[in-house]
Amino acid sequence: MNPVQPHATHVAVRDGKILSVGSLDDVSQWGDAEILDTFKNKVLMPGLVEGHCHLMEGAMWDAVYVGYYDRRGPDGKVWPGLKTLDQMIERLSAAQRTMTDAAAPLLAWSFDPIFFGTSRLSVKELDTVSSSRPIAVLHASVHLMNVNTAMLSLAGIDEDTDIDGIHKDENGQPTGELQEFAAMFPVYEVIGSQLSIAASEKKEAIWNFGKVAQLAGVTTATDLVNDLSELSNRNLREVTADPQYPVRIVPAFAPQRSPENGVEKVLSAIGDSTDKLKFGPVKFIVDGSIQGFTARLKWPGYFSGQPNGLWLIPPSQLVDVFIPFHRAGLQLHIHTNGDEATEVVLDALEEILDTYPRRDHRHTLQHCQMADASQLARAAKLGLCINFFSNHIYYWGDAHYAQTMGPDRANRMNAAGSARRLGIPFAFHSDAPITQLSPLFTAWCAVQRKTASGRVLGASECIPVAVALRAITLGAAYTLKLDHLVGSIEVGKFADFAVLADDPTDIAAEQLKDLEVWGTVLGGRVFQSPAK
Amino acid sequence: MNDDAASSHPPSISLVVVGGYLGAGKTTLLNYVLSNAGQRRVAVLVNDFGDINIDASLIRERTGDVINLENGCICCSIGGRLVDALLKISARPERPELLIIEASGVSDPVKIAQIGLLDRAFRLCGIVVAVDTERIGATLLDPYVGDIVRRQIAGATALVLTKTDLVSEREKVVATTAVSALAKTAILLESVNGKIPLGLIFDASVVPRDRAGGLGLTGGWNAGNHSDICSFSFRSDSRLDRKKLKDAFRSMSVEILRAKGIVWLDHESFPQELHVVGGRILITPFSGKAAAESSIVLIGRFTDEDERSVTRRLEDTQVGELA
Repeated sequence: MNPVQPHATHVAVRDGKILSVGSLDDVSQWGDAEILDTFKNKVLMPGLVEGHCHLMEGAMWDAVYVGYYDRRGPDGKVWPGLKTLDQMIERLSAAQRTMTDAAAPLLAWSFDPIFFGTSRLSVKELDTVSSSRPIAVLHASVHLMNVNTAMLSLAGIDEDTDIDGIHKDENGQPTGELQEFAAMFPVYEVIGSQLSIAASEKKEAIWNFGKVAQLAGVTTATDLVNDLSELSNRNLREVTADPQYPVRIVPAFAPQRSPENGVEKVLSAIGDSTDKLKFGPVKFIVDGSIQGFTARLKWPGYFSGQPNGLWLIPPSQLVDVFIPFHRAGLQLHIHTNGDEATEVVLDALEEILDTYPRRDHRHTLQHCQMADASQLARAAKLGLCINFFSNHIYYWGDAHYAQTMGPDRANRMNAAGSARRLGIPFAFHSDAPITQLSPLFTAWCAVQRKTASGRVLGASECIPVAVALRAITLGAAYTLKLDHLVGSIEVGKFADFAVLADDPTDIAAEQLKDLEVWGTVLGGRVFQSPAK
Repeated sequence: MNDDAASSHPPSISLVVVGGYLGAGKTTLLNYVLSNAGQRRVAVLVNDFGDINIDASLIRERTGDVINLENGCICCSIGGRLVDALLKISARPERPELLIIEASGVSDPVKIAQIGLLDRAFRLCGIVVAVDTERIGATLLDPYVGDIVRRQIAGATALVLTKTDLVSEREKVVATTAVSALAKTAILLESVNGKIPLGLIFDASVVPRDRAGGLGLTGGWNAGNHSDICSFSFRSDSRLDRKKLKDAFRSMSVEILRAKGIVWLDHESFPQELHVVGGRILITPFSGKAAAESSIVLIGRFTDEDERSVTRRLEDTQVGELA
């Protein structure tokens, strides 16, 4: 990723940092060294950087994975994607047979009915797994869940429950499909804090997250909603201090979750940063999600006519909310999914930067999925970075084309090609656990722009492989203000590598997502992944 | 839920959601309610970002508390602080009698209120939406938040026009007309300095019609040209038909704020608890000791004619003798 030196055969490491990179002759100039030929037939890339994901990915694996796509768990085991409802019932039944506590709820995650045509999951099928054990299956979108009869009765949901979001059959009986927060609330009451976003409160989840990231070749990853609570900070310090922990973690403080003394909290946390735990970013969430119809869209709004989405911060308060963090020299990561949300954030940042100019602020628009050309031009002028949610093209691209945005806006979504032409520093992300944590897959999405059904969305926004590889390393590092430490193989940076079986610049672009990740190196320490 | 679990359930917590756009006067209204709460245990959840403007000393005095809530929780269905906060409140050994949630200025209070319609620990008593009489015209035209404010007004079970002392009579009429056109409820009150009829929030402050004997007898609330929040009861020795009862409540055109009661339904061996708010009807098995009659208390603004017509509608739901 270093344009001055795109290829090399040898890299020398000292004290966990890169001492020299070049030919054997070059690196030997530093004196005698132990030569390791473990990677003789491998390709070392800079360790991959995931600029927008959540430690919650590590907590999800306590539940059974029932997604449509293959996904690797923390132990390296590949959970094959489930292509039929029968396969899903089978996996749930297998999981329930291994459970010893008869009353414990069986939880599953990442179910996506979009792939099963008209056949819909209901209590009938889930009751065949167990009629007595409560079962909840969270959908990939996290806006819906399916439960069985035992869970319905525990949660107190029946034919008389008169509320939106409880799907009912023609006889008025609940089908077990619960839509949106209110309808799912009583189920959360039954299952307690499981499947919660505050994952850094649990060490096990931090460990599991690290393992999942490492399998994907990631050496630096964010936790882009963190409370910086005492417990969470202590857990993160302890876990990342373990030499066996394979990832550098970048927690982003979310003032919307804990509003008190935000600036002081972040500044004090920054003082506690270590090589493997980097505090600093501040996260704001302005609107909701596009597939959940809660993102704020400009005219003409949602393609299938849903009312416009929700503001999580009133547009008129954005300036006041951002200013203290901006003035304290902190970096903002601002979630804006819909183009109206992007618009009001651009307005706010323009006003703030006019009043309090700051060089190299690197405020970053996160997701920024629907921005149009004029908005991208403004982002460029304001010196913003953009971290696109490119995985959406594959996972929900068909839904965006036909249901949420319609063709025009679906074709321009996650406009990396335009950002590149405008010179905007950009990265791509997975938002794991929302989609799988795998930067190579994410890069593939940005290069190919293919939906799950194979439709290409906006070919003019495709980017070359080399540009995509830069985005998932140095590009993402830049959006985190860590490009002086990670993201390329250069003297002085951490010796962090993704070890690949093949050269990603040598293979056909469509194979990018299938590249085998042998393992990683973090600060010179080798982490070999379990075989698939 | 089985009977054992039901009988061990503590009394439910009344839930009132106070909504309305920024500056509509939600906090002022809340402070008024809190300072008139008497000895009731009240907890307040603030779903807003930034400073809490609720008078903290007021809260301590009430032995309740204010919990600040992330405002990212309403859309994000996983890990919401709202879930955590509600779970904590309902798990307390000494539960509050009333939980008031002050919704953020851009949230849809109906979404928050739905929790009250669903979870057995909470019973929704109303969605009170404050509207700034002076600024509502401009707010409704705002390209970014106009739609949200329209949704807030449409979702209210009672609307409170605030700051009416700051506008001319003509401006008030314009605002009232705009709000009425969007509202599903006919209960529209005026308020200055947060003063509202306490019956809007507390059942105990509601004056029965037969004792009220006219206008303006409830203390602390200057009704102006509005009739008071009052109540009357419907009693029946007969069993009631579930579907007819639901239909009756859905189609009543009078100003009902809420209704509740214990009813004996056809084909049910146990009495049922009935709870109606904003056109939504919740019927759940009642586990306590119930009299051998159905009894429903209706709270709202009623004329004699309203009371007669509601009674007639409810009488029509009777299907047979209670054995």
